[in-house]
Amino acid sequence: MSTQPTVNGDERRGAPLVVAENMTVGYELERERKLLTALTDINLTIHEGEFMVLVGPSGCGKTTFINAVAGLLRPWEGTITYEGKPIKGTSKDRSMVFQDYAVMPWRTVEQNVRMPFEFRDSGLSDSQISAAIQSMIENVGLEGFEQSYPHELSGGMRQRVGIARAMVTQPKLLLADEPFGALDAMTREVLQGQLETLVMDAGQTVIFITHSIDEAISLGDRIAVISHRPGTVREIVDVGIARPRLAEGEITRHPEYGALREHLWGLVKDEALGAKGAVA
Amino acid sequence: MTDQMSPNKTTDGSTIASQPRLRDAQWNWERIWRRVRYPVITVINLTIFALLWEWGASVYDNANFIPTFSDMASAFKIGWIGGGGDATNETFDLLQDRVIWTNFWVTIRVYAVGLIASIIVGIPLGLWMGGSKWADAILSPYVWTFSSLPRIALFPILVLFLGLGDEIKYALVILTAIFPVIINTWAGVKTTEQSLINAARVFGANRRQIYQKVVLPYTLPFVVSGIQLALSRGLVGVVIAEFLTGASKDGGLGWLIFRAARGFNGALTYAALMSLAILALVLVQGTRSMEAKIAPWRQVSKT
Repeated sequence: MSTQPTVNGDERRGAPLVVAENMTVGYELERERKLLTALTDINLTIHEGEFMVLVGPSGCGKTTFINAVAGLLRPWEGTITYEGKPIKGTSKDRSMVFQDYAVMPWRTVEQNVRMPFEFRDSGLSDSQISAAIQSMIENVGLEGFEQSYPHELSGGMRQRVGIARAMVTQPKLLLADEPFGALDAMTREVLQGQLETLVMDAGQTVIFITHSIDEAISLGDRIAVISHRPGTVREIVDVGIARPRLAEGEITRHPEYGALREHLWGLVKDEALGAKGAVA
Repeated sequence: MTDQMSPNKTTDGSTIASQPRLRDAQWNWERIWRRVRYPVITVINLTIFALLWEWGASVYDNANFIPTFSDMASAFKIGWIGGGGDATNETFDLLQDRVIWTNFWVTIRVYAVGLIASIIVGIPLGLWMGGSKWADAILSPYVWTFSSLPRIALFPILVLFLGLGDEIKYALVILTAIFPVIINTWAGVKTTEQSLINAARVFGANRRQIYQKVVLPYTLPFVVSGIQLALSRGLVGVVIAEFLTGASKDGGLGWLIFRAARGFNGALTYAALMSLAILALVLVQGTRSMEAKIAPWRQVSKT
């Protein structure tokens, strides 16, 4: 499956957590009243403790995959399982960070981070919940902004709220749908590093979507390249660069970086051009 | 000054400590001016307007068409507070003590009842249409037709059913005010961001919770702007209804304006008109600040 040598990706990898088998999934275009196939015949396994990155051209169905893992969509054909059981709905084990932050504008930072506790019984007491929220807010660097509203925050800070909300319940699996796509380059790099630290500390499994090859190499244990619509897994690439990668600074100077980047760009470029050709 | 100096002695940087105080004093005038400049400018502006009116009307010299500002003001005073009943020069003059006051409350009563009915019926209808595809499909042709139709065209038919009493006034207010409430509420529900709904679902919200915790708060500012529209449209509705129903006595502000103008009582016409303008202004400004309080996040994103 892989074309790059594996260095330490396998050691981090545990038992299969999410398994998609021959999965075809899409969604309804409400205005045109037709069904659109986003992903076809997907076979992909995400292991416990793994940081899996999906890259691909825009509109290739990456988001659809993550929505299917979250339980927001059901597969049309094939199966998708979590811990061996078919995914039938959302679960407290699977949390999500959204591309457009999806923080509630009428809620303060604290109230946004509290959201997961409102809809599901966590088994924690009120004071435990408050403590968890407060320490999570501190972990993402938002202390002092607990009572601020999202419109008073920058984009980067809003996404910190999104990350805190997703991680406050300590889910087993974190889904991230291009979380840093709308941020400026500097904020992006800072948040990438902090996400790596947070995830390493918590030992979470992550499925992370991006259209940036650099982001994929910076964060991923494995990178799945998705072909253009209807998307399928074209290749899975192992990233053998030791962690922590971003706390040390320049990951781009790592000897493996250039070759990985070139290889991935070759794959993605084909797909991006293919997508263009399909439109024309 | 001595009081101010004493704390400085405890620190060695007494000059540094005294400088901000000095600057404070200098800034004070500018701060006061900044705070009062808009009211001051408005007062000057309106004074100039009144003077120009006074001068223009006396040059034009036809009090039936344009009274002088002072004539209007005295009619305004008599109409609201009274105390000038015998200053009138015609036996059957409309300008009785507190005539504007009386008619103002006639208008307000009809207007308020019509508006409250529009809000009570309009919001649930809009929510229902936004939330249910069936309700939307069935009701939207009627809603869109009625909201596009000049409602006043229905007046002749409404007269047949409702006569020329209060009922037709209520009907016209509701017909003009309810559609902006329905349509705005509907639009709020319909445009609720999918990612917010997805987020709520991911964190475990069921259908009811999604509606309660995402769709309703998202829709609230839409409802407020719908009510804002309803306030101004409803006022049009009530004034037109009062024009057309033509009561024999105390038919509301619209009736008063109509009658006063027909009787060539320029001063009263303009005084009643002025009252209506002030009412509309107060309502619009009131809902503006209401919007800012209810949905501060929208105020900021607008600017």
